Amino acid sequence: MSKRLWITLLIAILGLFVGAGAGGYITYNRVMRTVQNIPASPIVVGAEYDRDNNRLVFSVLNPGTLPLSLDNYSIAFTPGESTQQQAYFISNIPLGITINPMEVAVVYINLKEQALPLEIGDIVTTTIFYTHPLSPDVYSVVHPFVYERGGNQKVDTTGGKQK
Amino acid sequence: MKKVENIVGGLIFALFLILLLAGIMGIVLFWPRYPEDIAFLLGFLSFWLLANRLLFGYSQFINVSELLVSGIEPDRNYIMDRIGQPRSFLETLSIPFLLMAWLQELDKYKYTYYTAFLLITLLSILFKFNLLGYGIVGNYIEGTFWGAAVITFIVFSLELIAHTYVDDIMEITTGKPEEVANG
Repeated sequence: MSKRLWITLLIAILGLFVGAGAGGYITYNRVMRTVQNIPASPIVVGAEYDRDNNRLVFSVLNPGTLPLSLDNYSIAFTPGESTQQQAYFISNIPLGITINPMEVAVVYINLKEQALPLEIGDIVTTTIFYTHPLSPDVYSVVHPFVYERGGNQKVDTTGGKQK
Repeated sequence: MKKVENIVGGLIFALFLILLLAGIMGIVLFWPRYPEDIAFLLGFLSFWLLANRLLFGYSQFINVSELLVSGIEPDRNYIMDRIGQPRSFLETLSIPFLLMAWLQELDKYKYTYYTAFLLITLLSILFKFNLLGYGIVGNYIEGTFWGAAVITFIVFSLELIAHTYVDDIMEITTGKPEEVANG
């Protein structure tokens, strides 16, 4: 009788393992399939100032599994200490770029025409508006670009110092 | 002691019923939507089909052995119908030996079943460690393996419990061990 009790205990522990394994498999795959359908936010992985054409060159990554379309953008220019250019704000500039999953797109952000070239300390805050196929809503991603050394690439992650 | 055993048995049975209800509720709530769920179900059902004779065989064996151990003579014909041996030979055996023959009869189904399970386990391990290329089928093979593992767990536990009755049955044929030593 005691032997049967011990075997029952062994079976109970074994059952826990089998149940955890089977349940873990099903739960993992359900979660993975749900996560795969969540649209990601585009990430600006690289930003550079193109002095010749007076524009910013962004490298934008789509880390998700759904295509994202960048519709338009707006820029806000905050002057640094060494520039003569006044602050300005331009909005609703059409873009029309679609980024496929796991791809990087090059996005040209034109500064205001007849504006002076960027000087050290200037901040260009770019807001890119994008949509994804699952929703009619419009989302936005804001990238503050601080111009520090002439011609060098600068990716600012702290949000920039506002004057 | 017998009373305590009955109470514990009743509690375990009640727990089993609750778990069964929860399982049915779970099936209704999480109806298979994804191919992985269907792979799991297919593995479960096909291995159940393969193990059906074992599941019922061991359960009936445990029931009959429990009858014999508690002192009630089980029906001879019921046992003899379940053994694939000539009837004239089975007539010569006493009930404990008939039960042993029944257990032996189930062995061939048991090893067939375990071989099939071993194959799916090996295949799933090969896919899991990317030795055949995980690809598209690997995940579904793993689902089939987990479905089969649930059935294998039930077969394994029934088999273990059934084999604990061998000693009790043998005691009935040969008498108590101490009596044999004394006599």
